[in-house]
Amino acid sequence: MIDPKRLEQIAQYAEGLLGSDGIRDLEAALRNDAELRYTFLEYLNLDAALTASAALPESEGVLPLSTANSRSENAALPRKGIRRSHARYVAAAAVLAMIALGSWIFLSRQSHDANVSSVLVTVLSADDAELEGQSEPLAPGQRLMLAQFRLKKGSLELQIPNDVKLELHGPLAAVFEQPSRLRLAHGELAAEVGERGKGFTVVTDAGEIVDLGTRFGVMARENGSTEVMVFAGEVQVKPSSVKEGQSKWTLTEGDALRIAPNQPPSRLASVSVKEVSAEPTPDGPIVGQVTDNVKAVDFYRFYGVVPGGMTEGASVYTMRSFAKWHPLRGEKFPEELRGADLIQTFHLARQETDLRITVQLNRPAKIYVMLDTRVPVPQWLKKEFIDTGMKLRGGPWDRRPMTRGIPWDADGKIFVTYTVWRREVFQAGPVELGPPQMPGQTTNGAMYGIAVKKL
Amino acid sequence: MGELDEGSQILFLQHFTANEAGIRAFVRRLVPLRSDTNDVMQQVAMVLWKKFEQLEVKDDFRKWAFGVARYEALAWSRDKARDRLVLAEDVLVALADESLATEPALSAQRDALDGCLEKLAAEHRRMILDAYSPGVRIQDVASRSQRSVAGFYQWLHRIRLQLLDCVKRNLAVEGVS
Repeated sequence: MIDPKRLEQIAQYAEGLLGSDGIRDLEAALRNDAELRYTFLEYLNLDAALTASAALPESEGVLPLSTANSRSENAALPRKGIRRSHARYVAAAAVLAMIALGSWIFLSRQSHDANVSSVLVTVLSADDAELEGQSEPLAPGQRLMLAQFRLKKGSLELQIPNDVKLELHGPLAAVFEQPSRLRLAHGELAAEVGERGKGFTVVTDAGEIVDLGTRFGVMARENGSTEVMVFAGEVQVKPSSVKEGQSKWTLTEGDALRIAPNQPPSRLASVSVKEVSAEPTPDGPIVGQVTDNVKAVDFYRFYGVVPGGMTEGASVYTMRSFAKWHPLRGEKFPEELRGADLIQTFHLARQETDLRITVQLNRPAKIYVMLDTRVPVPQWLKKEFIDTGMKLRGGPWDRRPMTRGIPWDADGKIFVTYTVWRREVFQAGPVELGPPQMPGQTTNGAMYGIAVKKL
Repeated sequence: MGELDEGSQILFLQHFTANEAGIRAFVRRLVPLRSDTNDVMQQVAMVLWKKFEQLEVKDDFRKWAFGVARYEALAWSRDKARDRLVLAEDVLVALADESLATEPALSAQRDALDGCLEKLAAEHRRMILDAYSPGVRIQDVASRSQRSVAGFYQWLHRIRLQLLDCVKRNLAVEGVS
């Protein structure tokens, strides 16, 4: 049995708080006591493991689940458009080199307001975009001077100073108060902010969203509420409704929050995500909103709903942007699944035994659940679904406890294999899915994925 | 830094990634501060990279890498002994040798930590992971927990002992230790 005083000495050593005399005293004790040396090693080993756990993305952590009903509406925001713009950006840069400064177009309404700043921007792409005051179609490489502006329709990708890219979706009205501060009156945008752009701020009537180096989306609604979702990195949200106590919220990748002038901030559980690779959905999305029974303080994870988004290369989870859906090695992506509405879950829930996810169906549909083949099949899945025999891979993942035991494939990558289960639902309405794992049988497996296709 | 061909680079990364957590924990057990671990690991990674071509049997990577880490950690301690509070070399050598010998058991303890963290109250789990977050100021975490800094360190120590007890009990049940 180790003397508690010695243990405290080890703790102080591990924190760098032990003085010279203490070090020499501990040293002498360690020199003469093998049991103490092993305890010392265990303590420092735990310290190393805690450091590793704290550095992991939250998807590898544990979910602070408590059960209660939670309801949230959908918000429709772009996600991948900015990321996929890189190739076009290269082309745009080449075009830019040929454009003389004289071809800048000044679109700002003249204003002497101290809170309006003219900002030189470059068009990266335009899709049926119509800016008020601009009669000619917008083209990649075009330079504009914007201050107060209105995008009447369509989508517009812009490069603005300090390594910030904006994707704007009309109808939208906004004003640059400063080059790094945009006031959004209404409309939706996504921002990708590089290292030099940290601190870029979007302001709405409901509050301020300050970038901490990230990709995030904002939708300012006509009713004054604002929805914020983070696709990578972190943002800080300062709701205007909060005057005392906690005045700012830090959201990380996979978090979404609704703020409104006279209401406390609340979790936004379901976010509609636009993916370039998604199949067209002329009849509209099959999936309405997705909710769950998680109600925990400071919990803001969302489910991403991607209409027509189930295909090779689609993201499995709202976090972990590198974990994508793939067919088995050497096989084709199952046609039955291609073009289904994809529901991106959050990996953080992977070991929950109380979770209930409710999927609102707009019409009769087939629901697919992709379950990690290493995880014991939960009772609800066995009872309500059938094993289709189809398999998918999700990844690549880096080496971590969750992937322990999975061999590298021939390309040196690690993939989790999932079995595809299916249930046919013959009427619109809510469908409840159970927890990823059963009590007493939890394993270190991946969270399940979900897809929905019309019946 | 030596240049590896593409095949060797991939092989190196496979080996290094598979063993990095173990090597890092090994180094941590030999240096006084968490931040010291990064300094030593940087040197370890560089040596492994430079000398990887010289490793004839690549499957011996793990044993070789731990040997390099042992050498670099002890060299770092010797270097710092002049101006830092570090343990005497004979004690560090004993710790390094016993650390290598017991790595399988210590590795199992690290793997078992996740399950024990889950058993903590959510608030406690959040606080301890906050305290270990990169770049965090312990004063800030202590303040959020409404404790003095000294009180927070005491609390951290108690939670660590609780976690250590939990992982050992769990491994004993599984017959691992």
